[in-house]
Amino acid sequence: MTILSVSGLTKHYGKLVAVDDVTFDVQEGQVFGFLGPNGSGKTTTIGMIFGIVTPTAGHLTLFGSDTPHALVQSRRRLGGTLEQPNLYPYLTGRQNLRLVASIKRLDESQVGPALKAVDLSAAADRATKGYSLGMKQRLALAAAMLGDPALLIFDEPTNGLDPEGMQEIRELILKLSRSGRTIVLSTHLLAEVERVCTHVAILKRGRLLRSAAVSELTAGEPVFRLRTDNLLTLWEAVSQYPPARQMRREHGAIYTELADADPASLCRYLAGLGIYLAELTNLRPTLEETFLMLTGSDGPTEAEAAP
Amino acid sequence: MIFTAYRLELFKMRKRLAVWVTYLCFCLLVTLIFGGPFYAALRSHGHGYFGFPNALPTILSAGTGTASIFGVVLIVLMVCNEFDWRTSRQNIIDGLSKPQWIAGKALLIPTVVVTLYLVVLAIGGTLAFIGTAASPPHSVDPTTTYILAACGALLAMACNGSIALLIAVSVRSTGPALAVALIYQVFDSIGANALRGLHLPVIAKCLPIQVHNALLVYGQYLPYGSSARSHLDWQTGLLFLAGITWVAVLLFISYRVYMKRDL
Repeated sequence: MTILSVSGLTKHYGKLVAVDDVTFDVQEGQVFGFLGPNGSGKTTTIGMIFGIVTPTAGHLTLFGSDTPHALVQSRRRLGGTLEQPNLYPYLTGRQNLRLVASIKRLDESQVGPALKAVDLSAAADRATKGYSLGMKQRLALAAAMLGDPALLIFDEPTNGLDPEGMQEIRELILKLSRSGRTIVLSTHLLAEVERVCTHVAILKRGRLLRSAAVSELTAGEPVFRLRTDNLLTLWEAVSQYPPARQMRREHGAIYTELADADPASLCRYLAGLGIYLAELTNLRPTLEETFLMLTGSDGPTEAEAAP
Repeated sequence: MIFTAYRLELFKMRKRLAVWVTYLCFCLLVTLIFGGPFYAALRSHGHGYFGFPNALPTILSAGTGTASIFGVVLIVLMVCNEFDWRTSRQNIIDGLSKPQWIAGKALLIPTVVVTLYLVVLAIGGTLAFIGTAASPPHSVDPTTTYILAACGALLAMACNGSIALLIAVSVRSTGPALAVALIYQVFDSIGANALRGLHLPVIAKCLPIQVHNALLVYGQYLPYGSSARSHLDWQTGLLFLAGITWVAVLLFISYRVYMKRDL
């Protein structure tokens, strides 16, 4: 089921085109990564989904609703944060959550468990102006999760955090994703996305470069690098191995693609010939390599590449 | 849902130290305003005027100019910080609609206006009650005058509060918004003088701050023909109409400005 569908979404600020004709869908249960360098239009796009930025053009469907009035109702099933945690500094953590619970028309009894879920029970009655950034981010996540929304959208939830804080937030999001929730996660930290997301959209300068499953983006033909003491014997053995193709020799190693993508079978075959490998490395492109390849060049966008 | 938004505004207001400090400062100022005539009445050996009913015109109007300024400060504080802290956008993300959010803020205006006026009445009334023994009654205006003066003061403060709301949603930053609100008061007066110079007195007296100032004048509500109102050029009904119109227009523009701009 399509939870969120964005079609031709565009936002102009005067002459500046912040988001340019962006189209993607988010299905139920997906953890959708929204990737792009700083200033690529991620936050503006999410702002349009949240209804706090008015699109210049385009179409947005949320839980099957697309009229302005119905979208206001549908947005009640969203939870999320945009950029930094937006909290009332003079209110305590508990009071901030009480306020959100009132807006979401929830019983205040849900506030306690939400604070516990993000490990903030002990600091719940302190004003949030005294919280560390990590605590504020956790409180913002707790606020977003109140009422168990059907779609969670987090914009740069680890921004400005130290490694420990990033780890905490990452674990929280992982926990949420494992519970089968639909999540949109905007970030420029690729390790986060690779660990958490099932699908990604990559933006650059407001334009969508690619939208696909993470597995698809990193699924380019795997190339294996092989090394052993006797490269000539290895070369001859591998050339006789039926799944091996596109072989080449470079820098004292043999590079080959495997049609069956099964390096264990290759190892068994070579061991049967008395050849034991000193190195077998899978050179499958990482998400980071794909991202850098897409965003590092001015190559065609998905729309331009379409026939 | 508008009631929920309003309830949340009251919650935010109640929990905010800056709001209580503002109210405390206002109480001190009002006490000083009424303290002078009260002290004079006590020292007058039975000839003072600061007791009931003589002090009613003073109580109903003397602290209202100050109350109006404090109203502006409170409205700006309660609106602009929402943009500074980006809680305005978070409220929308959490489920309030933009019309509900601005309606909650607009409902703060009567709340602030009434509470500030109650402070004026409470402090003035208490001092007048104490001073009554030293102040034999010598002038009693019709009850209608007292009621109209109170309504006029409330409307004037609401008018200024609406100006503050418009400035707050337009400027979105507390310091600059307060500065703009202050500068606007001066510009309005200068504008009115310029319009009078151009032989456009009717337009001049209809400017928001001119209407606000006229609404605060107690003599405006005395019976027609009394010497104290001879120099006043507003008919009471028209003055109220002008005040209500400005409140409505300013609230509508605030709504449009807020709805049009991204958060």
